[in-house]
Amino acid sequence: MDILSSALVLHVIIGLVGIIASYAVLMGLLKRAPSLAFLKYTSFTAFASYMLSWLIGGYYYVIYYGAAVKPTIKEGAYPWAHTLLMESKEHIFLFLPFLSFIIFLVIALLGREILEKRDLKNSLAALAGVVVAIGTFIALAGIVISGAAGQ
Amino acid sequence: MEKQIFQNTKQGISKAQIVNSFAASAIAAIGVIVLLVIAGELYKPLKSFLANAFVHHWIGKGVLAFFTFAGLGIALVFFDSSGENTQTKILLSFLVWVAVLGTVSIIVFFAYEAFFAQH
Repeated sequence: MDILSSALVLHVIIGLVGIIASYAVLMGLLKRAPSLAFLKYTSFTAFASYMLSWLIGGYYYVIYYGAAVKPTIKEGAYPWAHTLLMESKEHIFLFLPFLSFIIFLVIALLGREILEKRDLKNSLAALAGVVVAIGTFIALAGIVISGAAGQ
Repeated sequence: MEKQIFQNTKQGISKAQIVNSFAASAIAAIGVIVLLVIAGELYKPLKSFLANAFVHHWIGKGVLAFFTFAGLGIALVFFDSSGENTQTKILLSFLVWVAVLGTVSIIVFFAYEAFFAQH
């Protein structure tokens, strides 16, 4: 497997790890008595995964996608897979490292307050829910883009 | 009273102050991303400038968003003394809405570009 294929596979796997970790954060926050250690571990895993996915996916996107995959999709049966989905995905993804870092920062610095103050916990859960929703959209868009590239 | 984690500053910096500063800077960073994405598509010289300055326009948007987040976050930690937990809740809620509206704005914009715009 060459370096570009490895980058694509790693980008997908690490991105999925990030979504799973974000979902674990959301579920942890929805519990009546969340485990602070679990929230710290999962929120850091999510943040680290999105950072790694940013670097590895970015390498693949900048080095290979624009020159080799994008023209194929735009000339194929589903050009909107690039013009709508890829354009949206590549930019909306940029939100995730910042959002996941904020979730980790709040849990790491204000963990006790989260356990004590329900409104703060709910606000953080809403943010984790947005991260899961964005991550899921990005993953589904990636599946459609891969399908369009293979036509 | 909340624990101060940097005692060497004049009044000390609370944990909530750090969280609030970076939550505010995350809102600004997402705003910068959305602005650069839409403005870059509508005004091609901006996209070209980002591509020339940062190898690729996408890298440029990420780098500028990162520096907005880090720079503004650090500046606010030291210059904004409002470290209230009630503010944290408001800032997190605002961040949720900015992220949702930013996501919807980008998708709607590219849907328009893909299906309706005349190029």
